[in-house]
Amino acid sequence: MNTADESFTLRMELILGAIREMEMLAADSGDFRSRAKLLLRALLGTATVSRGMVFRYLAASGVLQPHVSSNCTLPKSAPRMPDELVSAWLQTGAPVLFGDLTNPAGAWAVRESDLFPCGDSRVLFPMIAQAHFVGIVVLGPKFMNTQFTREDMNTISLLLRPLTMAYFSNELLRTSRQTLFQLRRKVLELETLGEVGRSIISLREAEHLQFEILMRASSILDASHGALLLRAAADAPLEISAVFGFEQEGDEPVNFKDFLKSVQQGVTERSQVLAGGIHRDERILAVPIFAEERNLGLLCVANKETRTGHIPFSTEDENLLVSFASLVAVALENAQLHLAALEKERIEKEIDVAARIQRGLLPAELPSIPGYLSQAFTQPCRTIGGDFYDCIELGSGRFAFVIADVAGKSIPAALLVSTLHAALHTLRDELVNPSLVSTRLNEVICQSASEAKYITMVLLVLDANNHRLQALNAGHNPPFILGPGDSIQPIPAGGIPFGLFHGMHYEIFETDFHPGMSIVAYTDGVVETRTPSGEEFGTDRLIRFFGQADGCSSVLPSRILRHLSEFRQSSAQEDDITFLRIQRLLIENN
Amino acid sequence: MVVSQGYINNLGGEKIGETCSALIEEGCRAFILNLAGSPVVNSIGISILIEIIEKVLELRGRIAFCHLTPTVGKTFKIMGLLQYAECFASEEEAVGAFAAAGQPQ
Repeated sequence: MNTADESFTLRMELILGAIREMEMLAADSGDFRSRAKLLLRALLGTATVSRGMVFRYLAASGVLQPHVSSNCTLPKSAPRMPDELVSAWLQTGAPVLFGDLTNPAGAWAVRESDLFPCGDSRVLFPMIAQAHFVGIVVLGPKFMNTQFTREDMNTISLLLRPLTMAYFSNELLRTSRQTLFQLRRKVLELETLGEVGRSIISLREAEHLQFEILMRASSILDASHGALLLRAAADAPLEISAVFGFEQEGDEPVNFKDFLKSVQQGVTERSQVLAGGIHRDERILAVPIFAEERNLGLLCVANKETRTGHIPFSTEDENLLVSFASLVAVALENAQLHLAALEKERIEKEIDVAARIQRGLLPAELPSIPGYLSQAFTQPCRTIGGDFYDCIELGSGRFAFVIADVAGKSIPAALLVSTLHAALHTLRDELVNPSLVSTRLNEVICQSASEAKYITMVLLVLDANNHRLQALNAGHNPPFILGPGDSIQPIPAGGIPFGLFHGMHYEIFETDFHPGMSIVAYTDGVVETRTPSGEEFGTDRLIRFFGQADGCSSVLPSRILRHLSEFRQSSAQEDDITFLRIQRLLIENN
Repeated sequence: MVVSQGYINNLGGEKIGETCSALIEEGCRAFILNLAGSPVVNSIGISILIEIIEKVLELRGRIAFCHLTPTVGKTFKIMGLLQYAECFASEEEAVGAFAAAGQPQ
């Protein structure tokens, strides 16, 4: 073999060895820039080129980004590569000399010559892999400034392949990582929306939930700051309910504080957003919070960050923030409903307590009076009623029976019942004189602060020893006396209900209580019980019922209630039902 | 041990990045990032943390997070950070794990 052949063989071995090493380096892991520099140096060394640099092509922007260099300084700026040049180079794949103005790439390189400070003899090699333009390698002068030969160009083209594949693989990896990152971000957005939704269902405390929604919305949208403004009432001005990001020093969003101030003040230039529109400018995105067409407030974010600065919020960001705003609306509605439910529960508990107290005011059982049978029953139409009855033993065989009906319902009526009960027991010693005590009772009720205002009442004072009955009717449904025989006698009102006017006097009805006589007192809920068609039970039916009822029947209360229920059919009970009956027995029991 | 405070966004993430880079320059190769004071992180912050993780792993180091809030922990899991960095409930656990492996912090 001659010297030329030996040189050629050695050179080929060197080149193949270099390619092998470069391929191994290209496949290695570790910092890519370091590897790229080593690859470039391997190429330069094998091709005996003194200096060079690699520009990476960024397809998204069309920019040639300076990446690594050897024996020269990388330019600070990145030229934009014309699309037609990229297309042309993809077609030819051929290297271009700087001085070759007949070639568009050559002419372009001359125009951008400041970016390629590699000396006079320069060659640009395209890096193309799988029909993708990856970048360019710019080579400076050959060793000792000799000319690039065709063999040199072929050698460099071979050496370029592992370098090109390394850049191509790196770009693929970068792109797939970015794609994966974006996909994961989408998953995170959905997961965040779902998690916030679950938090709302768990009825967490409203203020904390509002801040958490604001915080999550701001971070998902890469906003540095956020604010939530709410209205206390329908036409009330917006007030800041939560803020995010202001505790971090630096990076204060331009004009965000001014924007928030202007929407709180309701200035004219904010009328569109105040009326429920969306605001989007260079730095701020604000969407309304609606619940069933009620404008509850505004959810705002500011300063969408990137690694290099800020970018405007996109339509996608707007849609996402609108989703968060609807979650805020649901959270607010839920919080209000929850509060209302708690309040309702509290009120129901208070009503239950009041009802228990009220039931406690009623006598557990009526006293046993020799020769007499007394029965009483009350059924309120709601938890608390306005009807009342009592029996107070006055001594010496005398008993005061009371039946009363307070105007109004629920707590106010119950309070007035308590007042009456207390007054009756306080004035116990005066009950033997119904005329006197009626005036006193009226004064007590007039002075009570209750909203119910008045009480109708019947007071029956029975002298069981002397068989005399005194009756006071203060504006109540007239009780009636049954017997002796078939006689029916109503006891007319002796005055107006208690509580209307001060200083009233009442007339008292008195009668002997003969054997077999009974007196029935009732509240208007009994006689005003109605059928579905509106027909009232009435006094006549009541009289007939008691006329036919077995006076000694212990189930009389349940019988009359059943009778009223059958009369009423499907109609609901509309008023409290109370009745009281005192009967002198034909044969005395001891 | 690197303890962070506040929002891990571009600004917060850069501060963590600078701190970790300085420690790498000093020869540190094992990192525990305590995020108790950082209940919120955005995607810019996540991308910076990913870079830190990659840098540490390139140097054949080890990196772990501790005191992650449930939200941040879930975020890191979804974004893939926990495939390459460990997660401990507390600083003590993290320190213990590193010490057991013979790694100074």
